[in-house]
Amino acid sequence: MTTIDRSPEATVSLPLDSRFLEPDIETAPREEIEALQEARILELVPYAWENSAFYRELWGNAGITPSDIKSLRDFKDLVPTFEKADTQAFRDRTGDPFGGLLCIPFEDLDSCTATSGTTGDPELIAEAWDVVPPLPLVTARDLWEVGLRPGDRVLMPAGSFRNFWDEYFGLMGLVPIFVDAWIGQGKSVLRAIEKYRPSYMQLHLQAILEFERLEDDHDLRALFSSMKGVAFAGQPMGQVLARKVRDEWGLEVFKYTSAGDTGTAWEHREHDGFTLWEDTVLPECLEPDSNTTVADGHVGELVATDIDNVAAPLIRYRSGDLVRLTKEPAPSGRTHARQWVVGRKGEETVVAGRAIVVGDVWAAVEELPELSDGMFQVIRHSPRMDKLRLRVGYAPERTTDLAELERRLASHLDTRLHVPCELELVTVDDLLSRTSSVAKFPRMVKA
Amino acid sequence: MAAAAARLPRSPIYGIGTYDVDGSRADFEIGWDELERDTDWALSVLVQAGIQKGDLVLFSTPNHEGPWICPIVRSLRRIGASYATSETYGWDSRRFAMYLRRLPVKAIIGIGGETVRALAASEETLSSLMTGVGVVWARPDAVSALRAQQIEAATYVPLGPALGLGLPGEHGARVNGAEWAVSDIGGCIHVSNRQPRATDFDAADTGIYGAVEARGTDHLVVPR
Repeated sequence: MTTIDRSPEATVSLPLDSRFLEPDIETAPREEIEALQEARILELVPYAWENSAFYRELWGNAGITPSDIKSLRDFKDLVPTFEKADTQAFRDRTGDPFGGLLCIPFEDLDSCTATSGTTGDPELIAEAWDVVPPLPLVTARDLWEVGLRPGDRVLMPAGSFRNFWDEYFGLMGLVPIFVDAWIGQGKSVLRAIEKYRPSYMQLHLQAILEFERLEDDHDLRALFSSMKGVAFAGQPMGQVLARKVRDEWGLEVFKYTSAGDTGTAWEHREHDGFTLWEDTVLPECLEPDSNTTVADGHVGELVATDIDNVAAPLIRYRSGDLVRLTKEPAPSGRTHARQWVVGRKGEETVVAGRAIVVGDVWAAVEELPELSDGMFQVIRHSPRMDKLRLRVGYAPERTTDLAELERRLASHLDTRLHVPCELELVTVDDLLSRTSSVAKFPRMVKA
Repeated sequence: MAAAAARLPRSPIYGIGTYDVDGSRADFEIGWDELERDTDWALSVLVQAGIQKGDLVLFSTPNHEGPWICPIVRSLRRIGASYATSETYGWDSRRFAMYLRRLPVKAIIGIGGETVRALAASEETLSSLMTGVGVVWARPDAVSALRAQQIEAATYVPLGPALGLGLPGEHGARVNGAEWAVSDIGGCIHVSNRQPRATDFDAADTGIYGAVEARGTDHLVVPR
């Protein structure tokens, strides 16, 4: 167990005005990052072979052993990729709840969390840690970038399903305010913000819509003026809503997304891509159906390898996220990879012979004032459909004639998407009430 | 990143907690010293309840209950037990059930009425899901529903700023007697701190109705 020495002698203060929490690694030259990754990979491969039944089987079937992997190049050329369905199949076949990924005795786990489960049963995530849980900890550089500094107050995020955040905030010198920030608590959250003037909170779509309903009675811009930044994840934020949050409420939104299920990747102050900390994850961008690396900046599937996870590392895991990935240094001087999320593999729907992605629908729907929250779901019974079936959430307070809105939307979609549509209009609240999780709002649902 | 973060100055307090009393919100600061004492006491309850190294404890608690949950989590880490997390809301009952189906859960902390109701509507009965679970700490709104299904449940309840944590086989929640004076005023539980804390409480209304009696060096609070 790592002992944290917080004596005055040990807490040699970091320059609080420094943009970087760990400048040496955040701005390390590319060769240094790759040398670090290679060293960890060369430890990880024999470790996983020795301790994981899943990797021994996967790699054995591919005809490789750890002795074949002598470099990062060998790793990328020879180690097979896998996807979630492969560990699920291993679990179903063997009864191993961790799908064969667990590399340490169950009794040695510190905690166990699970994925959001938006597309099925949640998947277990095994965690071994010394000081604070891994998912919060990997955001340390990102929250420093947001501008949080010791002594700042922060609102505790609502959800606990990816572990508790209190010890992490304590480690960062931050003071958490433990207020219920769940759906329906908007007024209470605003009161806490007015009283305690926190510097940070995590937003989710439902909270934004709730604040929107409260804005006639509250000066949100004044209330939010203490915030150095807010985090937002779970689903993309539509342009209209983003403008409201940024321009009307004065909030700087730092979006984050999954780092291929190995952790999170955050936007930084330039809001130009999500940073993958490459001393924790080795990211690759491959063609979705092959082991071929796509060119820097082109779209491919994010394939991730955990290089700081001893409990159940993902090794060449196909995330299903379609991203553009670059290893070009960021304008900030950071040298770690950045990704831009384009969509999910398999999310494309062919409607009457025309390929439609969620982003196409989003851009069209949110252009109508009654639908500017951008709330909709594609109802899909097959990857190929004759009509685009949409369930769309409207704002009742901005809607006077529902039948007219439906006619106008149908015409608008016809103009923008050039495919026949079948529409179901429900209130935004009704649509949200059908969602099983605050973590992600599913844009694609089964018929 | 832990090493870099550890070089930062520690925050002056653990945090600021909140709880509801008759529709209005009370808040309080929690200092590091009392968090440590609260952990010592929670540890003694968990050990008495039979939690051991290597056990897995399933939480059904939100992040904003940190002031009451943190002493329990810290105790589990001292014991060498691990934990899993799920939400208290009915929609997350699928995750809660998934842990019970797949992992050898030894104890549950914080199961509430929403989860019990959601699982009552599912195919698997709670009794079958909880086979093998040794100790269940349930919220007051779930205790009787669980007992109706022959599932013995001890009580977990945030009592204003104080933690209420019962022992298996005992009806009600224990409150650390060295730390808190507990009284029942007109059927409503009130607490006062006996040791210095970041926030002082003098017969503070907890918003919880029930009865209180002495139990050894602790109090036993039976919520209504």
